[in-house]
Amino acid sequence: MGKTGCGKGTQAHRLAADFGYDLFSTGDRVRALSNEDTSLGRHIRDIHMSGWVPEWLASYLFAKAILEEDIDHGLVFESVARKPEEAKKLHEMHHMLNRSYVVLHLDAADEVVIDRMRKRQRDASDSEENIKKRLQAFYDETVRSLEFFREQGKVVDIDATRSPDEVYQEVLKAIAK
Amino acid sequence: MRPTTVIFIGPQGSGKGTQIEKLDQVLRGKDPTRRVVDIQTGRRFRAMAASGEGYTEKHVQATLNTGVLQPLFLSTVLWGDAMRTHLDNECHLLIDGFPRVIDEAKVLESALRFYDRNPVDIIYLDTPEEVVRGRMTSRARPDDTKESIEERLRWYREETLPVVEYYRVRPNAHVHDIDGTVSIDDVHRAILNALNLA
Repeated sequence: MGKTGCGKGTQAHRLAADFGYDLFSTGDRVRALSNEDTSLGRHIRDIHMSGWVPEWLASYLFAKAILEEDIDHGLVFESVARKPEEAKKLHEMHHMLNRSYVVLHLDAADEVVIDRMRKRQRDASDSEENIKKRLQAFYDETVRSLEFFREQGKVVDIDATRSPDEVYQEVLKAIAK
Repeated sequence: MRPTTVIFIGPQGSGKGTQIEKLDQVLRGKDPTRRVVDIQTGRRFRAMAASGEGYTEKHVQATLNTGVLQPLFLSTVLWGDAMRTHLDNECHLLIDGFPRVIDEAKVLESALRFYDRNPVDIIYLDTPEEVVRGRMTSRARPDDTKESIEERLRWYREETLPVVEYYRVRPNAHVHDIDGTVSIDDVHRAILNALNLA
């Protein structure tokens, strides 16, 4: 977990690839749904849903993945539990199914991620205005998710201002515990 | 006729299933071109538990056997599956067995907003516990033991009744108080009156 531009996508993909874990990304799942010939797929296409994922859908997607996919070897979540309600469900679920988990918080100051995002500018969604919106959403919602996970003793803070390789070493240490 | 969304809330044994079937028929008769979607969480759970195969099914079975309310994540998955394949903004939607706690009400609100389904009507089948106990003991489903009946009544009292109060103060929700102790036909008539379908 972390702000936009903290490098969680890069780290999550690398971890999943190195260990053969499945990777769960809410954005990818929603894109897959939008290609389905179901009432939900059609509706997602009709409203041109992008970015913002309603809570029920976000929770549905991760709950279904945990229950129905073969993930006994491991699962890496990228961009999950952005809202505190989702965090509670994710925790409740792991608790009831006796699955352990750890939350890696890739911590970086606003200036650092804004600077990175300016350089990245992948597409129109990386505009200055959108970056600010995503940061605001992080402060409005995700900070409380992190607080919740912290109360459960699940959070490891990682300094995400360093190089991707250095951050990855910290990621490996955190999951080895 | 506009698409309606009706949520039935009442203790087990208050006749929700029967009343939904009757309302379903009325809606189909009055508005034959529109689909009527019934989402009955309890039935889905029992069907899932009966299949007994996977990870999910085993957990459903375990929770049904203990009579405890199914965890939120299971109802989230069942609900999501139902909405994924059946729900759109054109159909009539009848809901039973959900939401049972305020957290579920919030999840449902998020989903109904997503599908532009507002306002919602709540049919609250007000039925005292003595009446329900009597009906449940004569009904005898396999998951109806004395302990599980009491456990579910307690859940209903402590967790589900606050959902009715939650809806009373929500904008875009209308709670209709219906006396659940009278005959099936009288309850049905009261529901049709409340929904302006009489």
